[in-house]
Amino acid sequence: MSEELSEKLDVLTDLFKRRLSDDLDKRKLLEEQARRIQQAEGALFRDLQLPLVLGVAAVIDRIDRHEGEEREFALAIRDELLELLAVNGIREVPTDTGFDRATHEAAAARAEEGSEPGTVLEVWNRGYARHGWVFRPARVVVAL
Amino acid sequence: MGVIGIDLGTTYSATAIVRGPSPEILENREGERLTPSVVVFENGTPLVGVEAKRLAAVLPDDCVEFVKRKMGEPGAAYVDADGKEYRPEEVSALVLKRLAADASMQLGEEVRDVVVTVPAYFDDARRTATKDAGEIAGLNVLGLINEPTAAGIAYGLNKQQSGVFLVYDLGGGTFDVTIMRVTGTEFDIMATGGDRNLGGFDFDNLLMGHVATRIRDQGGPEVRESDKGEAELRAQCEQAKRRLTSMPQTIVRVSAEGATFQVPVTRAEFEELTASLLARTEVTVDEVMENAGVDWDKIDRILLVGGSTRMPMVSAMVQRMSGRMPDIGINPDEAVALGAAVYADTLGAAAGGAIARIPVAVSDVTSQSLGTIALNERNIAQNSIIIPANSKIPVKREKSYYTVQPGQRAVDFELTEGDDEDLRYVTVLKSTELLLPPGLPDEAEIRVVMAYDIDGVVHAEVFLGATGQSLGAVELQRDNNLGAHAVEQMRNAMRDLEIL
Ligand SMILES: Nc1ncnc2c1ncn2[C@@H]1O[C@H](COP(=O)(O)OP(=O)(O)OP(=O)(O)O)[C@@H](O)[C@H]1O
Ligand SMILES: [Mg+2]
Repeated sequence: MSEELSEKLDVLTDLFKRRLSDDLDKRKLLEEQARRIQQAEGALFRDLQLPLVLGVAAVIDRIDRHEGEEREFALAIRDELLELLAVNGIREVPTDTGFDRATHEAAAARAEEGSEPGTVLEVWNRGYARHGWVFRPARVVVAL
Repeated sequence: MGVIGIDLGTTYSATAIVRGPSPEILENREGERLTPSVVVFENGTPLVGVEAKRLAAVLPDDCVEFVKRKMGEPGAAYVDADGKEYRPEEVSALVLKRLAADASMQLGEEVRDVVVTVPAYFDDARRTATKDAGEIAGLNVLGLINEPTAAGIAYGLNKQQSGVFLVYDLGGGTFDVTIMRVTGTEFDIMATGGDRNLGGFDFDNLLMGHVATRIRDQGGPEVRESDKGEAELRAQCEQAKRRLTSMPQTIVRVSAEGATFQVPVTRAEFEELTASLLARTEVTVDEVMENAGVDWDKIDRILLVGGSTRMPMVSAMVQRMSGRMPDIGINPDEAVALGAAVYADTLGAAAGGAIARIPVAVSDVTSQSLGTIALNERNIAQNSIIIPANSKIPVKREKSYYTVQPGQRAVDFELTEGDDEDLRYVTVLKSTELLLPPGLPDEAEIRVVMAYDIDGVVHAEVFLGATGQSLGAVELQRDNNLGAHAVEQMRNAMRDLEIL
């Protein structure tokens, strides 16, 4: 009896192991497919949408700099554009963190009294990322 | 194992591989297709590429850029705070190591075998330095390929078309023009020429000068006085230049002494400012066409390569010269890497006894004449060319010379580079005294054999005519290059170095 049981157990263990490895293979395949889809999707974004997005970003830059008439109106449009980008999966990179070379580009650096080295002193241009890809770093002035 | 092609550029580098029916660019770990050829030493740790460039303005003294211009020259490219010197080969090795690491990450397997591109007119020392950089990076350099040839391959793939190609390559730091004949999968360079010190960098410089003057006009300081100010001005002007490619005007903003200065620049102004640079490229195009013995109606396709050809004034000029539209279709800053990948695939397959997916046959020409110094009929020492410029590589040529005294026991042997007979316009690459056996008659024949291998590296050997006995092989180890021992040491030192 115990022999029979142990035989059955062996068969079951074997089956279990095979299923597990099947699952692993399938998972690998799925992961590989997901990677490819993501890559293709990224390439599509780069080729088709990116130029438009960078154009919108340039408009936002101009509004950020705008100090003349109708400032309120201009700012409202800017916020609408930022929202439009966000809805389409494009996030602004935070700049209230201190200099981060993964998302910021030092456009300039200067010593500033009362500011620790690495503090972001000014933001010249907002930065943007999509799915973690920083396609436009924020251009900032960094404290030395 | 994947064999990749690396376009090691002055300002940007790229890697590509052949996996399917056509080559593809490998993105770096930041998801970019181009990697800035920039190294920043942050507290002694080298940081390479995208993030290094972003940090450059903060650490201008620890930032090394444009190292390709220093390849093959003696001396350090960077000295760290402890006085440790980095040769140009070592800095390039850091870039190559990072490129290979990113490619490995993309491919999911370690990349060791590579093909690296060089400008067509890189001389022997610069080619050797480039190869050494690869070795120091721990890579196995299967071969070097000239950048225009690589670009020709990339463009040739799309359209399976034979004919004469003119490649106009204006990159970040170098300019070259190459005319080649393409027959199916064969690429033969007919003539090449260029300007080692002409590229987008120089367009930036002129814009920088203009903006700096305007800032002073606005009552601002001379921003270029400090390294930091200069670095910032450079970054701002380079970006403004790019914006002027797609927009008719832009504003360059620079902060100095706590104030921000704004300088508006129009495309027309920029084009006027840099007209002389563009004119220099025009002269080179004419020269190379003359060397190749072709005029515009013999040229089937015009390829624009290099990021700087994105500037509208470049295609306008080429169109004006040729009366024809240049080819479009491949990103001008990716073509070289893509073609290098195809060549890498061919070499990799050959090394492994396999068949390449896209086989190509590459033949290049020498960019400089090689020769030796000999006395002419009037007993005046002059340059005697053995391998003329524009000879098809690989090439092996020999020439005989004669001793000037009976029983002569030694000859001075010089290896020269240059097209002129006049020694004032010739570089002596190597000078050595060769001993002769005793008892030679007057006017004993001495044969000099010179060879240029497929990578453009030079070899020379001298033989006694009568017996064929070798008097010595001249290993072209130029003073400007590292020795094998130094390369080995640097390779070991870099093995465990982590690059961010
Ligand atoms: N849109 C653009 N408009 C104008 N210039 C551009 C544009 N994009 C890139 N460039 C310029 O192209 C140059 C980089 O080109 P590329 O990447 O082909 O050069 P490289 O390979 O680094 O240099 P080289 O071939 O000389 O070694 C830089 O000077 C850059 O400023
Ligand atoms: Mg290039």
